[in-house]
Amino acid sequence: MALPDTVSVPRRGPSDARSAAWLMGPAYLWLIITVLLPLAAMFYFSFLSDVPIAGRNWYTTFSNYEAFFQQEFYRTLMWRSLRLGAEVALWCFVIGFPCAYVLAKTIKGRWREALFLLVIIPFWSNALIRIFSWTMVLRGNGILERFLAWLIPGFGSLDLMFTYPAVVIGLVHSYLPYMILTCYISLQTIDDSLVDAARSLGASRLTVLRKVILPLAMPGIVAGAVLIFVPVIGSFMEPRILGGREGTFLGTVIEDQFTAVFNWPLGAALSFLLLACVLIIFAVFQPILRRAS
Amino acid sequence: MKATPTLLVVGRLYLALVLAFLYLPIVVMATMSFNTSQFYQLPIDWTFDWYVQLSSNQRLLAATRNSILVAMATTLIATVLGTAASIALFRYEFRFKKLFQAALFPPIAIPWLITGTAMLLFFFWSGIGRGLHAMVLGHVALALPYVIIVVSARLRGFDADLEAAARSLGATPWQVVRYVTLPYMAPGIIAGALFAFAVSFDQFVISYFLSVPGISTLPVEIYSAIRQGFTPEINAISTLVIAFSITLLVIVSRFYRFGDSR
Amino acid sequence: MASVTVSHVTKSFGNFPALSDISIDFSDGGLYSLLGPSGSGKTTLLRLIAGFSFPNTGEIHIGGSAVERLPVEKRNIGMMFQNYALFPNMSVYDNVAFGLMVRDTNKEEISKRVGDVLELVRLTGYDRRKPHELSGGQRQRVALARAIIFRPKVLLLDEPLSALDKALRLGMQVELKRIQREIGVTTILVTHDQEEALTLSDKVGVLKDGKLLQEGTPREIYERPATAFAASFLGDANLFKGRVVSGALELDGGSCLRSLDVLPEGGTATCAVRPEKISIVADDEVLASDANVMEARLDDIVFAGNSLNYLLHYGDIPLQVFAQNHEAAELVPGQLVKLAWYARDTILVEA
Repeated sequence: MALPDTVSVPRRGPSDARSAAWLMGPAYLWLIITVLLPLAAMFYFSFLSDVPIAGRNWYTTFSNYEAFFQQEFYRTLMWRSLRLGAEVALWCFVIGFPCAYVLAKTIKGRWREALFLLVIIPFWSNALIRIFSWTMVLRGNGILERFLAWLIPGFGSLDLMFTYPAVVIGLVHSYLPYMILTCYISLQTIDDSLVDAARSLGASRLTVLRKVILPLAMPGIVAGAVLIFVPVIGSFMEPRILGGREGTFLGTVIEDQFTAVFNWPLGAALSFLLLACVLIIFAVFQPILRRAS
Repeated sequence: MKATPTLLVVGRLYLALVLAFLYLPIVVMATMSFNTSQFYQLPIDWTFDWYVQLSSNQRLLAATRNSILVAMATTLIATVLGTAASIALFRYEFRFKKLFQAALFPPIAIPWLITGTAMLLFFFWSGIGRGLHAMVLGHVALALPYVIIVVSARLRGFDADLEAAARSLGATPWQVVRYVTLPYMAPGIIAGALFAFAVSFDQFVISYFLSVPGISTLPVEIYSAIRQGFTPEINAISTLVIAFSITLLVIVSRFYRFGDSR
Repeated sequence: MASVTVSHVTKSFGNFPALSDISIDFSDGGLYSLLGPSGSGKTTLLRLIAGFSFPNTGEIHIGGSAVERLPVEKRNIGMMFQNYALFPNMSVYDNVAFGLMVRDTNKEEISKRVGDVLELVRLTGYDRRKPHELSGGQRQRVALARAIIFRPKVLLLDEPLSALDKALRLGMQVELKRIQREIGVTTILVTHDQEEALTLSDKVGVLKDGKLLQEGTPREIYERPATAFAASFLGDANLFKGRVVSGALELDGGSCLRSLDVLPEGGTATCAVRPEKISIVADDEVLASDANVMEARLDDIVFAGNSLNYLLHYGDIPLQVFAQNHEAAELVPGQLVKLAWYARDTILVEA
């Protein structure tokens, strides 16, 4: 128990709540207007038959949700999106974990700081442009094909552009830094002496990895996977640019409802089903995510 | 665990490979923006033509101006509101504080597609409408959590006794803020502001849904250009944008250590 | 300079009574230590005097005027914090000058007085350094200089030496006392370290559970503790509990202890004896007529360099005896030894 004797400055009081409200009020009011109310409005829209503006005939209905559960098309889409999310998260782990390990455990001091920054910076830079830059690498007779042709004379065409793998490559590139970041943080907290201890007890490198490092780094791995999976299942720009006609996912269909088809209620219902998936994932992994933060 | 020299070399090579993967497409794009040929003719025939053409592309110039305007407004609002909220969250104990802290995550955690379409629908329906003002509304919501996280991280190391000491030395509450609290928070606030600018300037999804024909930001304009058909001008403007945002983030990193508190 | 009076002050946090009805006079120019374990309310009292919080009831006077409702910045007190709380973004000079700067003192005056006070704390030439470039002892002196430069009426020290290592602490105790004497400011020091309180202060107040148990000079408190708690919190004490029979304390094992204090006839009482007052004596040694004598079993001998610490027990009462190393007798654990001490060293205490 923290005894009052050791409390640095007693801070509680009725005027505190008022000061706090004045300081926080504007920020939270902003979030209510721009996030909470829009989500509520979208929930409402998802039960309408048409956009509720003058001149349109609209009534409340479940038909938007019924459409999803009755039409094979939407369920396939949802499945494709979930699979894409899982695949991208998996690849990010496979590529990113060793990278985080090398960074956290074998490189020291200023070099580590610099390399870490180098990994993280692209993540915060413009996502659209990074996706766009892949078109130059992947397209037919692009950099990748020319390089392979130079390496292996007579190498045929890959035709990667506008395929499912192209979408995966672009998304892995986009979100890889996230996985490296979360794994790096959890690997950093593992005491090196634990590994030495396991080795002194006769464990091989592989056993140490399996029994000590991976379990201890698990919160970081899961956090990375969740934080990648969630935005990927809601992606639409990446599949559009790199996937072309192969790039039809739940995200692109939702975008269509809002920008092309103008069927907002259906778009809202699909958005909400997507949000439901997101919330379920966060709820399931909440305990591990909390440990990771 | 002492890695063997071979393993160390393999590890470093692997790291280099991953970095190459991360930067290769960007480098290719930047290189191509200086190539005369539209179709990746090699060897490269160096030229500045595309950049020159860019400077007379009115649509892209207008979009750039919009992007900067929106980012500046977002930075100003998000930094002020976010700093104030961080101070309240740091200094006061009140009911539901955990809830308030948790409420910062939806704007970051929910896919932007969902937030963006919800904003579109709500702003359209409620009469707020679309356009630059709507983008500012949306961008601030995205930038606020980042500002609060960054500023709070700075505040966490703050020793409350410093304020107590200043008061015991006779400083009025305002003097305490001016001479002690704000100077201490400054690096956090600057990092938060730069972060907010980067978030807004690079934001595509929200802007995309809130733009109206003729009024859009640079990423939205680039997206429609990509979809309409490729021209090397896009390479040029993209190279400029990515160079700008990377520079911005390198500056942020001088004020805020990325992996420490995220 | 000013005296400080605290009268009938109470303070509670929610349902927790941190201080109940405290009254203390801090004399002008004196150095008074508030000593107690954590949770005793000593820091709460210091913060009430400083003005960081306000008492529920009672009055606080500084230099004759009531201040209990004034905020801290209006009280003109100098305070030194446990971790020094030096402003990390300011140089030593700016830290020390802060109290004058917020009082709108002119530049030449500030510069002169900063020079003087840095000389007083022996840090001349350090004015351009930043706090992180200083050692622990130097930081402490900057904190002290900062707290006294504007000539506060009272100097408050919150565990001033606890962040220093032991060797440095002894030196700083001497230094602190010198500076306090030199400027003659009324000083109130909060500490849980009995040695610090005994060495530094003119007067000590022992606090426990928000109450003032005893106050007096360090010697009085050490030699005549009023309670069993004070006896064992300040130094070590052997405590004997027994029945009072014809003016003496009769223990369960049969021994009778005499005291110069008047023991309550017919009831039970507790007496304290300092371990260094007890001697281990030979069986044939001739003892003073008023000596208390008992036989106890030796459990262990702890070698502590310049002294020996004997651990013994009498019945189920654990005992400690300190002896200088030079008189080490050839004793072995398990044997019975004869203990003796003067009746005047047997102090009646409240249980």
